[in-house]
Amino acid sequence: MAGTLDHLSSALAQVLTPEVILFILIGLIVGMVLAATPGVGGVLGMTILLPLTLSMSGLEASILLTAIYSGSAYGASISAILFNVPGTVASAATTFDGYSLTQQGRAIDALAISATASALGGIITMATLFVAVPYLPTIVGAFQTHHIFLIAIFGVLIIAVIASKGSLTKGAASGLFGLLIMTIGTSPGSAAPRFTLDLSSLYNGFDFIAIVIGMFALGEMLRIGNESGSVVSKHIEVQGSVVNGMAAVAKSPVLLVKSGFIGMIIGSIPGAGSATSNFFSYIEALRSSDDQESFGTGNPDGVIAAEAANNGTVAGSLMPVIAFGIPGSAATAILLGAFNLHGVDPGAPLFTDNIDFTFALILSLIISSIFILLLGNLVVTRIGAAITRINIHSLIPMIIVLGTIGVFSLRYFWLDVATFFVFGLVAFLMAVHDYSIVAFVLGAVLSDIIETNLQRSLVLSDGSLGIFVSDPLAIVIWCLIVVFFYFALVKPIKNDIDAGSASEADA
Amino acid sequence: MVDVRGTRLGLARSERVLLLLVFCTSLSIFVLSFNYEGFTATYPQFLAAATLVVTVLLSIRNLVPRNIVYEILFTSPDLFSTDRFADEKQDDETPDQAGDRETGSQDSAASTWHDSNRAVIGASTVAYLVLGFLIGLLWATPIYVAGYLYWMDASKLRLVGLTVLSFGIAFAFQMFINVPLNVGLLHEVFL
Repeated sequence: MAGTLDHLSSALAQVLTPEVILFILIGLIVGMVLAATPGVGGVLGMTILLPLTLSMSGLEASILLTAIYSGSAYGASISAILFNVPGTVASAATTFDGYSLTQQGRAIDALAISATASALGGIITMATLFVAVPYLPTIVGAFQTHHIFLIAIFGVLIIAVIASKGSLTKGAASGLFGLLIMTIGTSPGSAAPRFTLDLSSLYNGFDFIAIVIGMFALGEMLRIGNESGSVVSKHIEVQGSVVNGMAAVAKSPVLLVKSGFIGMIIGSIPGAGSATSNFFSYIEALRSSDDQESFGTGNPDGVIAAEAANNGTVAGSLMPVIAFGIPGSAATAILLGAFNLHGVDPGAPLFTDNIDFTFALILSLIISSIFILLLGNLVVTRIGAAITRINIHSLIPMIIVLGTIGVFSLRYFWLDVATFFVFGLVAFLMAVHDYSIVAFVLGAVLSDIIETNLQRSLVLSDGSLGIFVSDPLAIVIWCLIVVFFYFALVKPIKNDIDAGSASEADA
Repeated sequence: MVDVRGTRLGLARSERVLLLLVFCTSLSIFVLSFNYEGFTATYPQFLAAATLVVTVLLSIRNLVPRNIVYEILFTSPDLFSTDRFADEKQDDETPDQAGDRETGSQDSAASTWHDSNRAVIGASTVAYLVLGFLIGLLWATPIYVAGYLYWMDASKLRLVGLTVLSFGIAFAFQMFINVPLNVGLLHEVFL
């Protein structure tokens, strides 16, 4: 206990400095503004600012990036509430009741509900994560190299299915292509260069960060390039009361806590991010409500459920990254990229030698949530409409400049700039044809983890595949894979066949 | 617009380009992997083979009969179903609209490079990168931003402001992170 308090005070000392507080504020504002601009999103902010973190410490960089992540989870609700256009899909469910409140002349109420629920949802789930951290080393320590391999494979499979965007084969193609691209370069096992075409700049393979920046910066700019001016052009009257909005949240503490935890649990599942959790939480709020008819017509509980969940997702999605170095979303993949860039080893070290880092990161997110509460209620309720009106064609050249210079800054290689450009085009084509970019990115980031752990496992077992079913934990992971596939593939097909048989019988 | 119906595979040209890129990359890796030994070869071989299979499947998906095999391979279950809301949206569609949806994405896909703004973004980015390679990104950056905003009919104030800001960003990278942005190939050749 005393040890934990020592680490806590050390983490507090690292976070409560003017520089770190400034990074949190900058990150939050960047995340909020980009997410409030429909079609842009906070992942873009994380990617273009990632190279700027080169001169920072690992902790400062991670705090800046997670603040963007946290700010974007909240910021997407602004345009959802004011214009019925969710900034990102993470706030799609917020439109149902948020925009109805705006139409009733209660836009400020809705913005205050969103800010308060997002902030409290974030604080509750981060505090839970904080309490759980001292117990995680025991769990993480039980995972050996073959378990990590199985978990990474499980993660890729989940993502290939969940992020498949309507076609399982497209999801698989995206994930496999990501895994395959990263085999170019030095083999992690033999240290021999592989598929480098004798280009020395390819000896270390494609830079993951250059790929991510290309896909999320240039790819996104090409995608939104045909928009004209600002995406949102409607003019609305922003009326209502901050106090009423905050009071509405205070009246629903159970819903707030429940929604935050729904977000946290769903966030920890690879591929199922805030896009899923805000709908799930909304549906649960609707199911458990005594006043179901009012949902969709301006019920504050609808906004509370959706917004508390998507900020709870941030805490959940951090768990697999910190514990195993296995990200479940684009945002956490970029965070893992920052960890790698700054030499931060995820997994056991973050719970032992480097536990101050973990505590400081979580504390910074609690501070982020407090800032969301303040900025959301005091600033966004006044100027929210203005920050959704960024001119797209002012944004595009600046993002491309930041992306290009940022990528070049990584290693001063023009190959990285070419990587940025080529993968930007690839991402654009993938987005247009419904291939999952997230599955590709997660495949790319997990490739090295999968290859390294597979090879180590086979070396340890003298080449026997029996190691993957050699202990109870491995069997539990296999069972999870089987259960997942049953519910993901077998059951829906069985239901289809049953439905087909029933309709034939009726006919 | 797009040549969806005119092709034997029924795919938009841009999707064919994407699948061809993935196919060629995985085939190259598969073939080259035989130059290596042991695990260094087998891991990429396995991945490349799997990628080749799914790429071929995706290329011929419009030739596959709409049966249970098609359902398994080319659709995916919504594990986190939000059917209530999806159903509400679907109800508002006429059958014609629903029928158009599938080709709609391909039409928009096919129109990708024909849309002027995207073509400008793509071409200007290539020009920016080439210019940056030749004269250095520090000098190419304001030229690119000014050119792009001029093409997009931005106001003079916005054009000047963002051009100066972009130069400031590039300069900050050079100053504070010591990135050599001020030199390009031409400097090395002539100076």
